[in-house]
Amino acid sequence: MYSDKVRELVADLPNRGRLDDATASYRAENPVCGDVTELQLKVDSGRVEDCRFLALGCPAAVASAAALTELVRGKTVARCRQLSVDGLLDYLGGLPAHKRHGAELAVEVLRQALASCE
Amino acid sequence: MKVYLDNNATTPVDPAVLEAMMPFLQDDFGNASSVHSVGQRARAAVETAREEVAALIGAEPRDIVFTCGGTEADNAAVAGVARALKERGRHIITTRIEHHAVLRTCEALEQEGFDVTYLGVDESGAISLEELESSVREDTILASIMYANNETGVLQPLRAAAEQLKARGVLLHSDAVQAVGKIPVDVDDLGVDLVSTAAHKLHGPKGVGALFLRSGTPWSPFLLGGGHERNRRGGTENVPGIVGFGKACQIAGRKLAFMDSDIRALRDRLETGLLERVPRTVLNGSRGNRLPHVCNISFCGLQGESLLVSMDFQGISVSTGAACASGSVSPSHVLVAMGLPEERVQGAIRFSLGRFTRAEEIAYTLRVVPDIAAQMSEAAGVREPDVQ
Repeated sequence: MYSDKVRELVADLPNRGRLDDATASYRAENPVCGDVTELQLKVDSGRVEDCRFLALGCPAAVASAAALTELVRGKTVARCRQLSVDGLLDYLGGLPAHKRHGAELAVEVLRQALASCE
Repeated sequence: MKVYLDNNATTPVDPAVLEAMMPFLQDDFGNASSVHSVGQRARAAVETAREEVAALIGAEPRDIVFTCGGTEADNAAVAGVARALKERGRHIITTRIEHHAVLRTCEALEQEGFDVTYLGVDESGAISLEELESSVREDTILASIMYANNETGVLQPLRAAAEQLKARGVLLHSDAVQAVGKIPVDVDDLGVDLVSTAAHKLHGPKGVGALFLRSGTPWSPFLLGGGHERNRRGGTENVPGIVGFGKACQIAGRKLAFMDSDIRALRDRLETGLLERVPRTVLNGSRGNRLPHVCNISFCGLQGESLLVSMDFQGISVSTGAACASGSVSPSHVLVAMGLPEERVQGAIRFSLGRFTRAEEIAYTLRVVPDIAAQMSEAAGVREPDVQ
């Protein structure tokens, strides 16, 4: 049902927790299933220096949030803005069709968090 | 380490069961309805198995009808009585916590014009005998009340329910799929008219079960075909499966005391350890009135499916509820019926031990799960140590 990458991310939960010196953050909830994802970024000179997540939800939501932190860390804000749901799904090795909303929520949270980073 | 704690979903086949089955997949492959000696060897094996299944539940062998599993037995019991007695009445009583094999059958019967009352349960997971009594009507023909719940292991007051229903002329079916082979089940002592069982829940093979159908019970056959099972279930008997079921019942009967002592002790060790070591955990359902091998624990503030995936990654197999529902996003209808707050429903994990569960597996689980819960709490931002 879940790819090895998703299982690994849910088990390891890389970059979990709060970022004390975050410069940008965003939190959103899926009103249908109740999944909650929060992303905290430390952006310096147009580059994401550090990134952490908080997530409460199904494996798709948790893995998507954790994957995002791996994908954006060290990248420029401009590059991060190009990240798509399909790009995240590729990184995750796919999600079951009825769990795709986990990736959609994570990418939306990233976009909103980056909105304040000019 | 691999730790299988999902024995309410299914159990590994006992090696002795497999050994008993093998000849009937090879040399003794006969059709039990055939007159020749190959067929008659199969017939003899089926009848021996019938005696073994009957013995485990205190039934007469002639009252055992082999089915393809628990779902068919539930379907056949409820629909079979309903159709046989539809001229007498069209009201059925069941509970909100039944397996979907019963609930879906009741819903289908509602489409056919039957009226169904769904009894609620309290927070302990038990029905109210007062509500049962007040639900019986002049046109009530059947009640279907499970013996042990698949998600919580909580036992229903079946004997008392049977007494009430018998006094009102209402038949009682019980889905005892989870109870048979785990605790003593005696159909006469309980006073039930129909009982569903399944082989794969007690270390037998999948694809075979049985319906106990007390002699004289009004009932219409569910599967029509040849005159198999004394005209009660059409279809060539699954001889290897039935033989395996019989052997599994024979062994389970000998192991009931072991389940009540050793497996109960392991379950209690697991349960106590988790409740002590993991903050914001709470047991769901009655502590005392339940099967000896099951505990359903809520990890409040966390999400059950994510916990399941993380435990699976560490080699521990558990369930977030009924295995049949694991592919859907619906919350457990059992825990919802018990009135538990959403946080407890979302964070519920079912641990179900089996006859082959070992102490070192419980020790490993107690080492690993608290760390998983701590990491997931950190990721979820859970801070407050309060439990509803």
